[in-house]
Amino acid sequence: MATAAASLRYFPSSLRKRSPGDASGGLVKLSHRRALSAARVAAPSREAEPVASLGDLTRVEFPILHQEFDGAKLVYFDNGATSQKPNIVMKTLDEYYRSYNSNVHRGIHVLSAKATEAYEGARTKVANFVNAADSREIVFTRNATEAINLVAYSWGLSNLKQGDEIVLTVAEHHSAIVPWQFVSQKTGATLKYVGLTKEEVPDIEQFKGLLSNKTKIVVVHHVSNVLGSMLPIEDIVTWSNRVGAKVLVDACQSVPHMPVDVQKLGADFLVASSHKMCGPTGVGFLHGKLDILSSMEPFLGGGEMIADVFQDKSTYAEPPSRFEAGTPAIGEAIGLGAAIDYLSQIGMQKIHEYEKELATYLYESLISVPNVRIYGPAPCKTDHRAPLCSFNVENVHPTDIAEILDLQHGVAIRSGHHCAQILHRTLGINASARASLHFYNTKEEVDVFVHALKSSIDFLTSEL
Amino acid sequence: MATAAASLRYFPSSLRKRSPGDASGGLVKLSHRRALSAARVAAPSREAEPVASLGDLTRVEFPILHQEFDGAKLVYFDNGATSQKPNIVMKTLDEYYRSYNSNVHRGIHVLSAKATEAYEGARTKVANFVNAADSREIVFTRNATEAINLVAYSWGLSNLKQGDEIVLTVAEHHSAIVPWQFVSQKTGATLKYVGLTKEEVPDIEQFKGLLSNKTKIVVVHHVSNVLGSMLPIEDIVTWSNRVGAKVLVDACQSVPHMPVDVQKLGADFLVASSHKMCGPTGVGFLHGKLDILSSMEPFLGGGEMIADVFQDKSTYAEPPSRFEAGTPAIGEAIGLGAAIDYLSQIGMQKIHEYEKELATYLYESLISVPNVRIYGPAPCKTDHRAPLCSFNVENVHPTDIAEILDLQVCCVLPVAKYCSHSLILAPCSFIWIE
Repeated sequence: MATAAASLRYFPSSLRKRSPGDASGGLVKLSHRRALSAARVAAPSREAEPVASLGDLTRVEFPILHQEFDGAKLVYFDNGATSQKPNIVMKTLDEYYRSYNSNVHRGIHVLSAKATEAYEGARTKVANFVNAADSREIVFTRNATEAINLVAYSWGLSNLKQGDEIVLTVAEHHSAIVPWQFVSQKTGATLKYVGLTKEEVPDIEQFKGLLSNKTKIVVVHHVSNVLGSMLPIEDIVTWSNRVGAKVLVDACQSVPHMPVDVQKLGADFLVASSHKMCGPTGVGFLHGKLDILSSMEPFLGGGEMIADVFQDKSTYAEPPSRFEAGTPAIGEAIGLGAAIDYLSQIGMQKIHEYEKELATYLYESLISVPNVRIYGPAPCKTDHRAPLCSFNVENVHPTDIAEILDLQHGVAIRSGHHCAQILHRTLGINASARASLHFYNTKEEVDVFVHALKSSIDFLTSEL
Repeated sequence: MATAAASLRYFPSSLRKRSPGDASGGLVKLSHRRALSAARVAAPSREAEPVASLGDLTRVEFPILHQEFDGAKLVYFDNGATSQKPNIVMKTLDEYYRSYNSNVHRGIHVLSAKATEAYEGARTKVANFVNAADSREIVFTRNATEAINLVAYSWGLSNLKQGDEIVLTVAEHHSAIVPWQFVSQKTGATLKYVGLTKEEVPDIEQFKGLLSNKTKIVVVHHVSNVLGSMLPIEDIVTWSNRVGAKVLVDACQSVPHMPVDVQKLGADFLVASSHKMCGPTGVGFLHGKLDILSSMEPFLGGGEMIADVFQDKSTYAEPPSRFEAGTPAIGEAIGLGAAIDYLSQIGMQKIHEYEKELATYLYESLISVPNVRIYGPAPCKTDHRAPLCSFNVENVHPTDIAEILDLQVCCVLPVAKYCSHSLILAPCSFIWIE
């Protein structure tokens, strides 16, 4: 097992300075990169095989993927941070702003009617996508982070008090943790964390042990953005409900990658972000059971979320308007609707099946590289592993790996704590590199990545 | 003076159902509309004059304005609700998503570097546009509403207590009022409202009288979205500072229409929305003096706004990151930057001068219509009137007016509820429509 990544950075980021098409390209001579590129072309590729993969078929609709950097095709493996967008999303956004941009809900005129219909239509699309019982259960926010804050401020501050407990796992994203730290500081409720098993998944037995009648809410990821593992949400909901606790699910890494059915999962709250599911930035959503949303105080105050306003007090709209103050991200929500249409016409189950293949291929290819340590459960030890791997290479800083992969090979991955510092500390590391895939990636790209990784490691370790 | 608008609606909205290009058009026969259209063409038009107005020159860049509904050109007069976007904004948004979409701030790879540069570049553009002393004084939000909530939750809840007073005017937008009602309910601070003079502008003398050492914050509009009037912000800041009160300015209706200099105004906080200034929906901003932002607790918690996260507590980033939790509206902020470039190359002073002409022309034309009652000060009674008119017509429900205007002549106006009356707002921007 590789030791913690070396803390000494070999490759200072001050040396980087390039952009697409920049011929100077960084530290490595152009001839070296072209040689690598030629080597990839010479290797047997899947294109010779008769059946095109889902990645092969869909990537043509993602214009950003067809870029080259110094002769090297972009390999975009940072989908855990944000996804790329199909043509139809840009077309939809463009059409909105060019032909019916207008404020919603309050207008009489034809543009406003059309904008309102499209915006509320997007809400319905989101509701159908996650099989919500009612489209009023979908509240648009900026992103999943704001959605979690909405629950923390609006439900948490009104329902938690000293002595109550909030249960999370050490693998949660900062956006699922920090709002509940605020709630804890303001109410006196305490945070309890579920640790990891030796397979590096949250310890379900420990979780069950932590539940008690003091537990008021459980905040968990569906799929981990670092470990690639999936939690048994339906069971978690069952166990939590037995002690009277609510459940909030961070579905940022599941909604874009598999069918998610909120009624089946049974959680009280579920959040996701548009930009991770092939939609625009600037919009995300909270799904909340209607009876709970109806009982919640507003969060942000202002236009749209009121019924009547008097000098000293106001009355508020019903959900979801109660939680959507001010002019919404209208164009962006409509763009998200187009992304959902796109994903739906492929089919989330089909995407999920393909990504499971990619996940196994990525893991097995990566683990074959000497001195690589991958975090989270091996595919053989779990019935679900997301198509992402967070990893370290012995004696090489992950940021150096990411830099060389980018500069020399056109491969985009991420390095750092991935908004999961607590998890990294639990794993005994400061940082990791992460390759995260989506349905428009291919096994060929995985081959390019692994080849590039080996070269990068050679480059970095030979210079030391 | 017209009485309050008749409460009986003549024209139920259930009868409306149309969309661009729908030839059935609603209740009025097509021939009537075409006659109106022909009458407009026959009337002397500005196109005959040798000098094209700013509206004539700029409208070509706004594709949405070149639509027709049953042969009638769109007359878009709902800019107080949202503005239209020039081509460059759509082009910029499209380019972002097609060629360098990536998450910002934490990425190593070239796309992330480019996205980060453009996003932070947009922040600098906003800072320069309002002449902020430092780009760290600009916090991106969804809209002005969220920006006001940020101040209310982060500054208000920590700095106000029982006995303190928050001063507003009766002309404030709901987004400037409701967050402070929350603060009042949670802290015990009370809200004090400045009323109107008979010229229908906020009563400055009453305002001065309301200020005391109990006043902790003053929340006021720069330009009223209903009355069209402008408040003397620099004076308000001077008077407020004397009693130790902070000032938050709602600049939604000023930033898009005139040069706004936050250093000159001197307010502690100023908010605006991108979608009202020719930029995309989904982004807005708070300007806050750096020392104040630095002293403020975070509002939304999560990724990006932290320095270190431990199980029981976290440490936070410096402003502005402290107030930008989660993945931002990256494309939209970059689009706002393009809108600012567009406005700047025209020049906000030029826009302002043109809109003052429009404002007077609109007012005088409208007031000549029998039985029309316009709210707010007449242009001759104020040195600034925004190019908007909120009005009522005696014995006619404003919603009926707005419906017929839309259905018959494709003139789009909003209808708003203001106190217990309904009235029509006819705000327009520098894009002149014949």
